Amino acid sequence: MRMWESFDKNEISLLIILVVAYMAYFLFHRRVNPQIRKLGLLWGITIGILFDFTIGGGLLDYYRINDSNHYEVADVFYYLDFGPFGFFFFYFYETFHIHKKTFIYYTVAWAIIGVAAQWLFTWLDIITLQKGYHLAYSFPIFLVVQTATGVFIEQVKKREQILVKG
Amino acid sequence: MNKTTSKENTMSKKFGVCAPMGFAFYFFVSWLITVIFTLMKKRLSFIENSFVYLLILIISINFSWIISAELRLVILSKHPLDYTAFMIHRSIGIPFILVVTLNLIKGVSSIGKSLLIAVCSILILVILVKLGAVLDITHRVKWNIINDFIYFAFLHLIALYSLKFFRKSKQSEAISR
Repeated sequence: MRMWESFDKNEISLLIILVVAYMAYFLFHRRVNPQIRKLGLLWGITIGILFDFTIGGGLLDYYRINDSNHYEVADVFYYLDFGPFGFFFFYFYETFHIHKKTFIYYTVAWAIIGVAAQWLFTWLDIITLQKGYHLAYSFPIFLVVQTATGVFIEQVKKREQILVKG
Repeated sequence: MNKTTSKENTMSKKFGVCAPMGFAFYFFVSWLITVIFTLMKKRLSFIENSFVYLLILIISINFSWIISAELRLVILSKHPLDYTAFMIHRSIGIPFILVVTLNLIKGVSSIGKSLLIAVCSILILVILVKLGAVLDITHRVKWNIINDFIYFAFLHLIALYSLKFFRKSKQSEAISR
């Protein structure tokens, strides 16, 4: 496993995004129940890895991460970037008091954020779309993922308090 | 092609297995373990089960990618149905078997029984991945059954200790308040 093919635009951008995302996470993480915040981070990272190794690699191979189709350390930075997004989905779901009437707006908003982030990653050469894959195809994927995340949070909320009182 | 792979191919021909059979088999295994998990008496909370499942899923995906696409110790079938069967087992079968095992272990009091459950779980996982070779889903170029035993034993240890860490994080927060 190599670090990267050449340390340039995509690696620098990834590191900046990683630092900013985790700074935001550490700014807010104490407001969330300790187990839930770990779960939020893990949920985000898992979703990123699951989709990248399913449609972004293997037989489908619809996009390339960073400089090559091989696993690089820079790819790990990319997967870690998903963690704070998972956490903030949980955090804002609770702070905005999302319920049946606002669920659709919240999910669609996050799906748009997801596509926008993917566009940014493409622009920064972190992701290279291939084999006829178009950015628009990611919208239904994000919709399904964000809906599943919302349903998952509802199940968590039934059992545990998400935000810390204080 | 090494001796083991050619032997496995002969076995698949002998038993008349084909791509749909491998897909149907792994789909059934994943369905079965999901139903078992849903219906069983759980000793871990919903959040703990989710945490262990997600962590094992990350490891399972990365490990299978590294040994197949990167190191090419195991070659995956290029047949779409066989490949899907592999994905289903990697993403649903393996993590859920670990989660069910952990729930069973937490339900018994003696170390002996816990060890027996873990050994049975490792054996089931090894048999399932070995069947992948028999069904022509995987071709084990430089991979043997000992590696499977070691990997799944480590996976059980990681699941167990990550759960301990996760439970501890709740307790330590409660103390600090």
